[in-house]
Amino acid sequence: MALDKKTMSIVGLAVVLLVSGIAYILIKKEALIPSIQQFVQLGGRREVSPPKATGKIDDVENALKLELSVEESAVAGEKADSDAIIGDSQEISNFGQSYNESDL
Amino acid sequence: MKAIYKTFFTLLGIAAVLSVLAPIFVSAQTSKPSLCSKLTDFVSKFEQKVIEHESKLEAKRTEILNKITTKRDERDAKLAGNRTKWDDNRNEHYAKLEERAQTDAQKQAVDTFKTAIEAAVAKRRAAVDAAIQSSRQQTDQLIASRKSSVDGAVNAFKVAVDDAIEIAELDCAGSTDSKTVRQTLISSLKVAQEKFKTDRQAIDKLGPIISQMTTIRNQAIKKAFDDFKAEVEAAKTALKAAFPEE
Repeated sequence: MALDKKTMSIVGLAVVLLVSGIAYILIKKEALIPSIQQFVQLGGRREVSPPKATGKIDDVENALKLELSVEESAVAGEKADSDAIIGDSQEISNFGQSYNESDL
Repeated sequence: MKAIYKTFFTLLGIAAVLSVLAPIFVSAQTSKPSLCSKLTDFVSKFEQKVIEHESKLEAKRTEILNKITTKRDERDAKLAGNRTKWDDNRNEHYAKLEERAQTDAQKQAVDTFKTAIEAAVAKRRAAVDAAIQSSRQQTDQLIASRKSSVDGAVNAFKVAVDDAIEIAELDCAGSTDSKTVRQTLISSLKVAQEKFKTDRQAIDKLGPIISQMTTIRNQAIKKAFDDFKAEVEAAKTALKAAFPEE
């Protein structure tokens, strides 16, 4: 009977640990989803936030350099236009299958 | 009696020979009209398919244009939003520098720095806007050029197929045997198809043009950024001279 109690305690502890583990993973996942969504919305790039003004000249310079990266990503986005141009390739190819030789 | 038997077996022989040859004659007579009727059906199906493909191509083109326009608007809005955000940030930095400036020389140096940086930012933004504008114009030209080339290739394909069918119909109405008509038609259709394939491959060779566009755009941006960095460096050096403690 004592052994049964010990076994039950171990099983009970294992169950509690398992449930806690699952709950922890789910909570982390919930917290992670908005971050992933935001990251995807930014096209895989992290949004660069302007640094706080300190009055130091080097910090002003660093802020100005960071500003460059924002404009750089805006220009890089233009490449998507060029890639979209050939999006009708399949529709064009389809004209080659406008007839069936076996219909003759 | 003998004559009757002879006549009977002769007629039987003729009947046997006819029964063997008749299907051959019938086949020769009926295969030609059969091909002609197939041609009419073939033309109908071909035209229907072409209309279907043209409709799908047009829908895809509209989809691509809408997508490009939407994405451009999104990028423009994002860029404008970011610029406002960074304008505010620069103003905060200027305000902090002004707070630090104690002497007239320092106040003047901050003012000069601010003017120099704002001019550099405006110049850089103008260069970026010009690069984006130029890139978009080139993209639009590529789209228009591709549309024109594709329409030309499709039209040439349709004309080639129509011509092949017309020749087949004429041959069909004439004395050309059906087998030859069919072979000629299939051969002509294959030529039309190959020509379309070649035209299409030539149209799709946009890779080098797009790469060149990207290179030109990147070079323009790099120059604007390098100029900006040099201008910031010069302004910073001048400002630091007024704030020797930093």
